Amino acid sequence: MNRLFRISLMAVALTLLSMNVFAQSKKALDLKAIKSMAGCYDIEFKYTETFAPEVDYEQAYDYTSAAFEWAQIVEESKNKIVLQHLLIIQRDSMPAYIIKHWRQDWVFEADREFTYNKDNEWVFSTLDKKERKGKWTQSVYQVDDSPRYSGTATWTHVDGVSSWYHKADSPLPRREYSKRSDYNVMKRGNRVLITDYGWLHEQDNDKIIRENGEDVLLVQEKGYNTYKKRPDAECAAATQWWTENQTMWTDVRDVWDEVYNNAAELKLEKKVDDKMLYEHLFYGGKVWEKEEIKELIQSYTIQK
Amino acid sequence: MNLLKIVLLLPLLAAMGNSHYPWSAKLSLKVDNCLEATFATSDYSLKKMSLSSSLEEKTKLQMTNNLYQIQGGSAVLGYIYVDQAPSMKNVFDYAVVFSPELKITNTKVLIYREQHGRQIGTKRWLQQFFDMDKNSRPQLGQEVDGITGATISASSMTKAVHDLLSDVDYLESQGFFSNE
Repeated sequence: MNRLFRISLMAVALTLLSMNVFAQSKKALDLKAIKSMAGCYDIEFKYTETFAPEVDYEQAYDYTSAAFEWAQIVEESKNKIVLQHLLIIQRDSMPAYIIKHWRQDWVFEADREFTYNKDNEWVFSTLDKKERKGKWTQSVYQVDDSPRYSGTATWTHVDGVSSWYHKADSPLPRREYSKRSDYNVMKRGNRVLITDYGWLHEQDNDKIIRENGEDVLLVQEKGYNTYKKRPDAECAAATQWWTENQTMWTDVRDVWDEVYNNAAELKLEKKVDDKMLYEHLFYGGKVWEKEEIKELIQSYTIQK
Repeated sequence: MNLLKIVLLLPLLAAMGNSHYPWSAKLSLKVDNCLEATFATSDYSLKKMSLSSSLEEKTKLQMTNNLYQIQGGSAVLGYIYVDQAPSMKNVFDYAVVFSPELKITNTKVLIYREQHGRQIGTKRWLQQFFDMDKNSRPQLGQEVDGITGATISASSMTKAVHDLLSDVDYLESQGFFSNE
């Protein structure tokens, strides 16, 4: 009896151990997939509107564009990876011009995420243990590190393919932000797929009219952002730019983190002094001190 | 005018009964959408064109309550005809917009009530009717391409435009448009 008990105990211990080993190796695969998005890329952006419930809706023209970009890991720990994307503008003989682009943070079993409501307003919510177990929260930020959208889901690694999918409400994408007023929320279906050429950001989006607590679907949209890897050395100008500018942007990130950590809801002004936030931070060649950044960001937050 | 406006205005218009148009609030807003897209202005008004009973008897389609002159200040911007035609199991609402010279400048399917055959609402198909005039008699498979999976509705819309152009031809020959 005693022997049987010991065998059972060993079996349970072995099972728990193997589960732990599996979880660790799964997490290692997750980290590998996330970190593989860093690097130098040629990007193609392609969007097309597909199905609309109203028969008289006229589909917008397809959107296509291209970019050259470096994605830098700016923070790394066993539970968090921060990827900063930097656009590289190259014209023949001119030196490369770098523009800080979007940012994606990946946090393992994060206890908070944010959801876009409408009218530049986000709601922060807590994730309980069950909701976050084994999952990664992707938080996506604007060029000025203000929020866009976030979502929590599981990375899968099947048949040699790593992918992550989540549907999140977000503001209008930049390509339509100043051009469209016929919808006010984009429900983004974000699929990140690690491929042999780099990675694919595949999107199944719903353009939504959100009024009086009701959502009306205007039209659906398919999007492919294709990231094709280039040798890292070709993006050297961006890595140098980041080295020179990271102090200020680390401060910007810190100030925003403080805002996010204390917020249940966050509503932001679109413009202050007739300027978007990024216009203050990007132009004029000014290097902002942390206290100034705090003051600037505070001027955009609307107290509720 | 856009869908956001429709969502915002529908309850208000429904409450008001939308007295300036004879159609439902939803259809009225869609007619406005169509006209604003066609003329790139919201500064217009519609004047009902009533036919004598003798003229009405001769037309294939119902003209009274369906045909309107579009006025922009003192100028005539064109004409609009709004009616229903059969789809496979239901009816759909459509509009045909004419220039002052009675050439088709826009056609729209405004409300479609079933899943089958919705493709006739695409501009790519509907623009086959653009520039047709009183001399045109469109036939599906000839002047107008059919659409796989939407044969009944495509045929129905083509017949509607065919009959409308025939009626416009007749009414013009009777001096109807010059008298308005």
